[in-house]
Amino acid sequence: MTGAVSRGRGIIRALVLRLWQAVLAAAGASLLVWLMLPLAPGDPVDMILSARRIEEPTAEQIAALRDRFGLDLPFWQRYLLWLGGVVQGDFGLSWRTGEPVWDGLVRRLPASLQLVGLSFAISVGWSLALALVAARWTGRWPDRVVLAYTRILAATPSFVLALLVLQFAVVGLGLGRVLSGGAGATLVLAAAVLGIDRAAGWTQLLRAGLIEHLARGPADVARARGAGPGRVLTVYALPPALLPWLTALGISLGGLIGGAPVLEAIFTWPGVGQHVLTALSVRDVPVIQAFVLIAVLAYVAASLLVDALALLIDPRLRPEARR
Amino acid sequence: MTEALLSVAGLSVSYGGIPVLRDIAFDLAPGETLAILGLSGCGKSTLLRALLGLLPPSAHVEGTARTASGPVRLADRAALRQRLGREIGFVAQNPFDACAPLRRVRAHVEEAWRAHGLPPDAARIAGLCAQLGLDPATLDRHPHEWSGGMLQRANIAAAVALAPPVVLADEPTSAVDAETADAVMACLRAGAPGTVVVSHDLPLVQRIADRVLLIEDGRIAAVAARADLAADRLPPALRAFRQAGAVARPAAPGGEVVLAASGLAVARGGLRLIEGLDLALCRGEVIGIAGRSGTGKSTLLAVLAGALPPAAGVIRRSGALRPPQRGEVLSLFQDSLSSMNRRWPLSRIVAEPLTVAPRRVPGRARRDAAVGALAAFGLGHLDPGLRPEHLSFGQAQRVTLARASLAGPALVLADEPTSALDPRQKARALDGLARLAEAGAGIVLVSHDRALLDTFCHRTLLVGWSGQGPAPERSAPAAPCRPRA
Repeated sequence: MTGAVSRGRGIIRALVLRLWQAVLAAAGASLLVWLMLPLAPGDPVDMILSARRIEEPTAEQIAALRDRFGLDLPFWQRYLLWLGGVVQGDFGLSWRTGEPVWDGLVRRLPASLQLVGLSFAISVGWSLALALVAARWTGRWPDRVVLAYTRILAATPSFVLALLVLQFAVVGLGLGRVLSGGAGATLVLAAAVLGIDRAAGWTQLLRAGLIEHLARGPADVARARGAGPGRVLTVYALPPALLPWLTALGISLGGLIGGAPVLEAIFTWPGVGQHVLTALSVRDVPVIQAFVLIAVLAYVAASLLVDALALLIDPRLRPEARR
Repeated sequence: MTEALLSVAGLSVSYGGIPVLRDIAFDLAPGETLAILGLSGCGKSTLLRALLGLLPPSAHVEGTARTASGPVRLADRAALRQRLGREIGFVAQNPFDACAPLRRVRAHVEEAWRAHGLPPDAARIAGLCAQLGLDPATLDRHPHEWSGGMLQRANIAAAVALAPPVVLADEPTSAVDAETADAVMACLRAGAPGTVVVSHDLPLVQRIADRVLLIEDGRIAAVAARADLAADRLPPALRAFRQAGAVARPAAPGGEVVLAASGLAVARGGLRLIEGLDLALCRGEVIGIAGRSGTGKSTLLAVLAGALPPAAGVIRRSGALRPPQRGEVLSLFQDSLSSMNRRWPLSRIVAEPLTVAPRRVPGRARRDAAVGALAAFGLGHLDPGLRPEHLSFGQAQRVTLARASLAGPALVLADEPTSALDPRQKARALDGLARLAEAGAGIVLVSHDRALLDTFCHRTLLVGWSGQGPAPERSAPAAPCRPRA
């Protein structure tokens, strides 16, 4: 009984430790994100004015801006003010529009999350299915087809794939619209492009892991007990092979959010990505800071999730198991 | 005449036309323990894997096996699979390698049923636990929380769960210590009416087998009944097999004392394992350390190496109270591959001791020294650019010996360096160890192989004798140590 209790405690302790590390990582990232500001050349006021396309500002306009954005305060004070706001969900005001950054992002976030979520689900399912098929018939034709497919796809940049899909599925077959403005068919197309592209590398990773574990002792012993190839694959090869695959998934999940702008632009999807691209083009620093911070937080949260899953899957990773 | 439990006829295996096994045939009588003996690479493991349908698809398998429900072609894997677990049980060599580390041991035992889509029989599992001396509560732990001997018993429980008439076992005791091995073997033989044990361990086979098949070059070279297994009645082929493992004790030691411990106590996790150990080792001397698993043998080696502090007592190295100097102490392990960088070629692995002062030499000289050392340890035919993954266990252990020879250590600490090796590999590894001793190293050799300790070591200490008090010496020194004044 005490064994079970200490095991449970071990997992919780390990998770709390990971949580602390995640908070530290997020805090460090926020500082780095803030430090981007002085790296941008020019006086913030000039940047705000140029973001608003005001060519010849009056002295009153400049003074009002300085006051409104707290630009007269020392650097560290502005950071603390900004951080205090961020913790309460206030990312400051957009230099371009003057409206709260958070409102602009939040309005567009659901569309982006839809895209990211769907594409992530597609790539997880697609790579899992392909890798299982390849490993079940290792060296035979299904495996060769999967290998050839993943190699070609892994070498294709995602925007090329996106443009091809646009050409054939949208222009050629009339599915969805080139200028979508949020139509459902476009969502599926964009998600499939994002997801299938990511799935190639993951498939290779999972396939290699499955094949490795199919050749190990536990798989052989299960076969010697009379287990069939399907059972050996799913019960003995899959769980251990999932660990490195999940780690890769977690790393990509963060990147998926950060990488959305380019694809959103191609599919004219009204998500955060478009908004951020506009902000980048006029150097609307508060919006960029907020987006980068959100991407970093997503990344940290994904890693945390993967760590927790790994602890659940592999008892040897739990702290009391170390010898 | 009673029906045989297992009849194998015309079993041949080849890879791309190259035969590995040729026309193997044998019967297993009820109540019989049949041993299949042979050196590594002779085909004995292939024989076992052919009977279990575990050979890769590239293997061409011929022959039939007759089990309880009639004959089956061994090439017909689907038909064979139906009988695995039900009519043929299997116990693997290394229990930790056999159990999926992510699953509980209970799941491993239940696999016997689940593999055939049957519900596990809790009452049968409880009965097996009682029979094999397993605590049912520990079944819900994971394999890494088990000891090797106990985990091997759980493997046996899984193998005999569906009451197969025959159990095939692949060196089932080579990964557990000698005292545990006999208990494991008794469990195995009690678990099923007939047992086939594959082994390279002749003394073990002599203890347990009713009949022995000696396999050489893929053929049955000799068959011996129990009555012929007594040491003085061995058939010529088995006598030759035994000779392959014979080694001479290193020449009489003498000279400087390299290691002197007095009042040494060793603890792990706050528990005192060894107390009041006095030890003096001089150049060229081999001291054996025997004792059951978990009695602190490996911890003692770590303390002697200076990797762990002693719980009490002092250690003098070459007469001085100081930590070991670079290259003074070298450790050898059972799994020698894990002590090599797998990305390095052999020449770099072997010559690594020559990269640190005071033995540092330039790159070209290092490579030459590595080639020389490999040749000196009988590995001259290997390409020095080879990576360790291509080595056999025996070759890997000799590579670590060659590396040790270049370090010119005063003290070599060897932890079960031969337990994974067959007699011929073992003889070569011990030959290498003797070479290190003759070059002036004092050697501490931990082993659970009694015969090895008695024939190779000058003296043997038994640790963990009664769990308390000083460890008694089992044998008197063959040649007394003569410390230099």
